[in-house]
Formats: sequence, C-alpha cells, structure tokens
Amino acid sequence: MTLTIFRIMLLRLWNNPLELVLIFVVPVAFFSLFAMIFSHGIATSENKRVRVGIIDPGQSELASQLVEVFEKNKAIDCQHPTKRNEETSIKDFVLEIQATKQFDLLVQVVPPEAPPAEEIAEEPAQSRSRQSGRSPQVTLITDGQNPMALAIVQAIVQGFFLQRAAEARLAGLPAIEFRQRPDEKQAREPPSNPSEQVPRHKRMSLKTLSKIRDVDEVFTEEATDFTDETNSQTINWPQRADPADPTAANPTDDDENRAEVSRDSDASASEELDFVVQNPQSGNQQHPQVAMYAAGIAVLFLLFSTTGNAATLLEEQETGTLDRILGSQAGLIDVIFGKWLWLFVLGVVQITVMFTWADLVFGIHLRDHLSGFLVMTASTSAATASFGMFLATVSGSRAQLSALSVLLILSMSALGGSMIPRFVMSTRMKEIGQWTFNAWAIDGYQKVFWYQLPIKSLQNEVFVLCGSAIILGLLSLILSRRWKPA
Amino acid sequence: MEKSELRNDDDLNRGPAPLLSLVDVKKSYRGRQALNGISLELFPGELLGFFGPNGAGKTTMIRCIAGLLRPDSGSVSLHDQHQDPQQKTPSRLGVVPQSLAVYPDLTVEQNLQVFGRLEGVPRRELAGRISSVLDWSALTDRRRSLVKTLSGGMQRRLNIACSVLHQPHVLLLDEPTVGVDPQSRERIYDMIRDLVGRGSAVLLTTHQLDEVETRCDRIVVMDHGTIVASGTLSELIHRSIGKPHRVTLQFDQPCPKDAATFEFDETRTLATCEFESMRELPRMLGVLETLEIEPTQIHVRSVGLQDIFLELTGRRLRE
Repeated sequence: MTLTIFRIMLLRLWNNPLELVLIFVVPVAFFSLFAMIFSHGIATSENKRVRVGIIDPGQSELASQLVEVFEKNKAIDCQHPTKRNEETSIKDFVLEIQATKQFDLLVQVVPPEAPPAEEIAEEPAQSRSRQSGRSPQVTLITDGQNPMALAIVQAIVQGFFLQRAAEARLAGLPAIEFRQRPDEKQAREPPSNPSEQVPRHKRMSLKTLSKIRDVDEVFTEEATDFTDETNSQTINWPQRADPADPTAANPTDDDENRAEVSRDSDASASEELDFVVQNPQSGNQQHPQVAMYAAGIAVLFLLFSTTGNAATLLEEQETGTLDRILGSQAGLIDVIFGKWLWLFVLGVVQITVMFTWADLVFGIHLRDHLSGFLVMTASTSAATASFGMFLATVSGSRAQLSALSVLLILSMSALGGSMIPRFVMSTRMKEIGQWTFNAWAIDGYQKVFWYQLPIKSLQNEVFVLCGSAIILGLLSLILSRRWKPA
Repeated sequence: MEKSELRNDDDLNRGPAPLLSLVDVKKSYRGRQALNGISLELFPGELLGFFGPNGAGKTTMIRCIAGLLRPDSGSVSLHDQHQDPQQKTPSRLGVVPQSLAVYPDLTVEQNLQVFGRLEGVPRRELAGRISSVLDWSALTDRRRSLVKTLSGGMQRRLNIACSVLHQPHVLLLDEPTVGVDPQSRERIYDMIRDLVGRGSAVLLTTHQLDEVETRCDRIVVMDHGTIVASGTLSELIHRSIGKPHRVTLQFDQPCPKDAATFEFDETRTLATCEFESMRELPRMLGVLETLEIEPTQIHVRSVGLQDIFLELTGRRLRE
C-alpha cells in the first residue's frame, strides 16, 4: 500500500510538467543566476574593479602622480568623467555623475597652487584648514552605497602619500609626524558647548594611517561611517620649512591637540594634506539606504501581488465567471481595464504603506520627497500592473501563470537589485538588470531619496516604466482577445 | 420515420410573438461544424427542454444566444432585435452557466450586488431587487454568508439568482441541477416555474431526462449540431418510435410460429409489439393462446425519453 501511495505521488508529478519545471528547473535556473551574479558580478574579476572617476584633476605633478597610481592599480578602473560645465556647481555636477552610477567613487585632486575646492557637502569639514597655495587637497566623494570602494580607494590614496612621505624622509627631508588625534571615544563624545558640535563631519582617528595596511580594520571600524557622514582627516605632509607658513605659526583652533604635538616636533617642517571624504547625499536624511531597500522589497512583493491578483482573470475564465461577465453589460475592455486599475491602486497603496513605515521607523523623510515619491510610485505601480495583466493574458491557466511568475519575478528581482544591491554587480550584470522593472524603480527611488535629485531627473525612469506600462497594457488587451466573442 | 422529417419542427400554432428566434444558425470550430443550421423559437411562458449527447452543440448554441460567440451565418434575435456580440445594450436575456460562476469569497449579497450592477440594474433599484431575489431563491437567511460556506444546492440557487436580477424575459440555464440533492432540485424547478408563470421564456439544457419529461412544455433533441426532434413528449414519441407502450415476450427457445402484431428478432426468442393505449394490452396478450410455446417472461412498459433519445441519436459513445 505504501508503494501504491508513493506511485500515486510519482504519477501525479510526472503528469504535471509545470510542477516538474518548478521543482527541478527553477532551482537550477536560480542557482545559475546567483552563480553568475557572484562569480561575475562581485569584485573579483576584470569587470568588477572599483570604478573611480577623476574630476578636475588639475595639472600638478601631485595630481598626475595620483591619477597614475589609480590607473596602474588593477583594483581600480580610473576614468575621467565629462568635463563640468562652468555654469554647473560642483555639487550639482557631482550629483549628476553619481546618479548615472557610472562610478563607485569620485576623486577630486586639487594641487597646492590651485584655489580651494568648492564644498560638495552642505556643511564644510570643520577640520579643514587648507588655504590656497599651502597644501594639496584630495577629496573622495562617495554616494555612500559602496563602502568597500571607499575603503579601497582611501587605502590607496593614503598609501600613495605615505610612500611619498617615506621618499621624502629618504631624501633627507624632515621627519613625518603622524599626529595622533585624541582618543576616538573621547572624540566622539558630544562637546559641552553645542556650538562646537560637528554635525556631520565626524573626525577620524589617524589610527587608520598608522595601520594603513590593516585594511580590514579600516573597513570594519570606520567604513560604515562613510555612508552617511562627511569625514575629514588631516595628514601632516612633510615639507621643507617655510617661515612664512601661517599654520605653523598659528595652529588651527579646531585641533589643539595637533598644535600641542607640533610643539614637540619640528613644526616648521610640515605642511598639511587635506584628505576629505564627502557624501553630498548626507544632508537631508538619516538612513538613505533604507529607501533603497524599501523600494527593492516593495517592488519584489508588488510584482508578486499584482500577478496574484491578475490571476483572478484566469480563475474567472476557468469557473465560467468571465463568460457571465462578458455576457453582461461589461465588455472585455471593461474587464481588462478594471483589473488593471485595481492592480495600479493596490500597487500605490502597497508601496505607500512600505515607505510610510520606513519613514516612521527609519526616518527616510518621506514628506521631504513626496512629489518624487508619488511620481515614482505611480510609474512603478502602472508598470507592475501592466506586467501582471500581461502575464495573466499570456498564460493559459493559473498553474502556468504561477510557474511563469515565480520564474520571472525572482529572476527580475535578483538581477534588478531587489535581492542583491546592484552596486556589487559587474557592469554586464548591471546592464542585464536594466531590463527589469526592479532596476528602474530602485534607481528612481534612489534618485529621490538618496541623491535627492529633482523630479526632472526621473524622466528616464518614468519614461521606461510608463512606456512599459503602455506597451504591456496594449499587449494584454491584444492577448485578451482570445476571450472575445469569436 | 426519417429524422429529417423531425428537424426544425415548429409547427405549433402559437399566438404571441417569439421572445427568442434562431434562424439557420451555423458555427464551426477548427473545421468542425458545431452548429449546422439551428432554427428555433422560444415563446413567452414556455419552458423548453434542450438535450442531446455530449458534444451535440448545446453549449455552443447557448453561447451564441448569449452573445459570447458570433455565428458564422444565420441570426439570433431577441425581441425581434438582432443579437450582436459587439454591441452591449441593456439586455432582457439571462444566462446561468453550468459552472458555479459566482465569487466564492464574496457573500451572497455581495455577489448579487456586483452581478446586478454588471447587468445594468440601476443603483436605486438594486437593493429592492436583491431582497426580492433572495426571497425567491430562499437565501435570505444566508445573505451575509460567504458563498464558499454554502451547500451545493444553495450555491446553485445563487448561481441562478445572479442571472435574474435584471428581470430577463429569456433565461438560458445550462444544466442548473447538476450535483444537487432532490430537495434543492425541487426548489430550483419551483424557481424556474415561477419565472415561467410570470411570462418569462426559459431554455433549459440538461441530461436529466426525467426532468425534461415531467417539467418541460416542449423538448428539443440535438445531435451533431442540428435539431433532430422538437415537440412535446407525445409528439416526439409518435415521430420517432411510433407508439407509447411496448410489450415484449421472451422465449427460452426459438418460437416456430408467428404471432399476430408481434415482431420477432433474428433468433426468434424475442417478440415485440407497440401499442397506443394500455387498454389494448389484453387484446395484445390474447395472442399467447395461439403460440405453441409459452414465453418465459413478459415485459410491458411505456416508452420514455430515454428510448426516444437513443432512437434519435443512436447508442454509439460520443466521447
């Protein structure tokens, strides 16, 4: 009897090709998909190097040497972004470049003889004391998405300057002094005087410099701070003594400790290298990455809920309810559009609930980005509604729709960034991901919540999502003609 | 009697104009002729039983009448107005599909509300009509129950109720009593009779021959996409089999001598005689005195729709 029961189960599975596909093909397909993402998508191969963009590199020897270091390093893919229009502020220029996601990190090198670089973050790094003509300035500009890239580039830059310092020492220049900041815990304690508080410019210990080769430590202890903070640190750069140096005579007020150390050493033998990490997106919110996760998860579940609801069309066909409806005063267009409208409204409500929760609990500042949110939510919901209707009309049965939707939605979500952040993927995988709703929706929400770009910047995402909604909607109408009186 | 003589019979002298008319309706699917020249009329207050073997074309015909299929040729008219599937106009036609075409996760009342609106019942009249229909279908007590919690009979009654909210003049029922108990079946026929009594015309397809025999005013037999017989039960009997009663004599050995009015089969062990009235039976059986051997069994029975059906459509399996 047991074997008979076993045989029944076997025969039922054998006679159900869709079930066979779900059990044996889908897992293998997903394994392959994730294997592709992790074997070709994460920084181990040629096309997963950290993409560094050099902006306004200047013509100094120092800048050229640093660029050369980047270009020679196999971990770095160094490119020069489009030249900045004179009328565009450096902040807007940076935001535009970041929104294209062509680069993991931007590096700005300003030679000593050039005027100081414009501030990119809303509030300047208070520890920065550079004055024109006194010291070089290196600014790492991150969007906070890829802390690994920031840590790698930071280590390379620091290594470059340490090497130069060592060469200077060998050349008989005065000794380098790594001036230790106060204890980190002490530094993090809020000052007694609120006016002394540094809102988003957390000072970093120079421990990262003294242990520069201990990359893990850099990543684990401090890299996380880069995601939403603008960081600044100062390296004392060896230089021949210059009696006219005002910083030597008047140490900056914000770093008394450094001045104190300077008294113990040869203060006249150093200049400062301004080494700054900035995040232009850190201005208006606490947790910008939460918006990305909210968008990713919302789109994933939206796709499932829309296809699940669109399946009612097939259910109605199978039970004869669709015939009854089509025999009434309602036409096929009423049925298709009515269901599409429901899916659209459901999507809007579903995403709104997700982001409202994210706002209440994680502080993504929904109200500050309401217009962009509404535009993206409407576009995303329209696209997913049409996608659901398309799958329902292209499928012959609910079982077929179930198998098809699981396969497509999980693939789209894996490639499109709902499961794995797209910044860890290779360029090729990112390109493939661009064929998914998830990627366009997440990119759009990122522009709104992370890069805080105006609605105008969403035109590509809105165009693709709304265009897909129209095309898939029309295809659904065409495919639904099989239910039309013939 | 030739089957062709029975086709498209509609020679009854009826007073009122037909509510539903089909004239030479043809429809083919993938090279197969599903309807091959159907002509039919349905009159006010008439309950028409429609039956035939599986695949005979009954459902195709109902879908054509309901506007869900467009005939290749011929016409379907309701109230003398041509039915065009492309035109959605307020209809006096109700269709009750064979399957339970209601929403199981809605309550009885919610189902009636949505289907009432779909049929174009004005909002201001909807509540009143729902109450009326709930009473009619004996579902008032369960109006707030989810449909999936109802018994099969209740679900069937709701299935019908959803199709009469817009007060159709013509109601098409596709096997409305499948899978229900005798009590629910009686209730459903009470509902149908009530509609017919109010002047509606009802076309009913079923495989329950006893239902057609006892409840329908007129019977249509369909096979291979054509109407092979139409009329009352007695008319069908006369046109197909001939006489309504039959006596059969069974012998355990070949009977050597003929018996008047009886016909023997090839083995001469079975003799059959048909007659008009049971009053003739003694005279029929009087022939036994003339036979040399006695029959082992004598069967006397009236001809039913089953006999007519098999006579008209044959005994060969269709599917």
